[in-house]
Amino acid sequence: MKVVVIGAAGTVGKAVVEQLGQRHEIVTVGASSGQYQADIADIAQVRAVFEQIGRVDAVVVAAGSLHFAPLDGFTPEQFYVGLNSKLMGQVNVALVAREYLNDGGSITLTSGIVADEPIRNGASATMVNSAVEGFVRAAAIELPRGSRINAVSPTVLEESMGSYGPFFIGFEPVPARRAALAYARSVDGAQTGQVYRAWGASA
Amino acid sequence: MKVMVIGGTGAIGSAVVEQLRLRHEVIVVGARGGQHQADIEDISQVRALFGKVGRVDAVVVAAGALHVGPLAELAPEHFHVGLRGKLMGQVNVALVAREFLNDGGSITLTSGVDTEQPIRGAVAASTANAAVQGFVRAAAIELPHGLRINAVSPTVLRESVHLFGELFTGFEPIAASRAALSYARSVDGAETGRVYRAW
Repeated sequence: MKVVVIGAAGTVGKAVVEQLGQRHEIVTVGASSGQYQADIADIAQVRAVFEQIGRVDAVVVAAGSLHFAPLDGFTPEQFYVGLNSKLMGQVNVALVAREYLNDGGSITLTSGIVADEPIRNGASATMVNSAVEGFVRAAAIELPRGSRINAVSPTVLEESMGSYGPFFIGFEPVPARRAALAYARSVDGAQTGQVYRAWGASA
Repeated sequence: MKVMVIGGTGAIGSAVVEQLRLRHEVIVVGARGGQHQADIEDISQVRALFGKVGRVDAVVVAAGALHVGPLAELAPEHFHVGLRGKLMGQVNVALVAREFLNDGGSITLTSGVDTEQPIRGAVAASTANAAVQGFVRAAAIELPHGLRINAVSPTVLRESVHLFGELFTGFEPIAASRAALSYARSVDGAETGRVYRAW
């Protein structure tokens, strides 16, 4: 299969490239690295990249930023950071990928454990990740030609504990290579409308 | 209790007003009708509204625009209708209400059955509704002074079947008066972070 991985230089993305690269031809896309560059918050840039890459069998997105802060003082603009980036960035990819997927192809987006397990400072993260999962559930029933769409909800990664550890006390981190297996289930599997939870113990 | 119902002139809102008025003082807010007007997409209008009304014990929102249309025809701006309207409109109310609620007060927002039961033509709606439910789950753990926040997820209303019935073939419509009971559970109850499914 020919698989586009967007966010390929990130912690999850690198592990996904390594996992999927064992069986598939990988095209890497990043904000500023990889074979192609795009800011996915801008659908025109997403279109431009797919026009260059052409038809593919699977698209994985592990990209998008979120604002973390206490609810007390959170502003609408801060909610829009995640809505424009992690939510609409991934939706933009899905809308464009729909036209470039071969029959039976798949789209795999990324949510996060806080969609189900809220943490302090995570109001936007829970909102945005829940929206990604809602989009996936709904889009799954309307995609044509056997196209599939799923989300992976990773917990905090071992590799990210330096920056995110204090937000996730008590959560068992998983190594990125284990989270990458969930993306492989989506890409190589046959399900649609699923959320694959790559969580540690006690979640 | 003093309860503000935003969207209090709509199909759900007017039933909520009727239900809550049995026990509480209700202030009705609409985009055009009601005792006060506010466009909740604009947080400064929400602030002005609460500035006039003052402290309350509960706020209910049954308002917010959504786009309905097939996935094949959706562009980002269609998603933004619901993100700006139903999602951030309600979030704006929650952010401002936090400062005007008496201790132990509650915020009740509205999602919809399509959050969990997808139907054709509702991708943008399901996205916004799922975000509303996520916001409620997360905000519940950070609200101070015993403040509570819940969502009600209504199915299609009997009163709205003539408008939306085709989307919901096979779904059993319920009377708005029954959906309003879920709002009463949220306002008069003690739970937080819940989604009450009025299905």
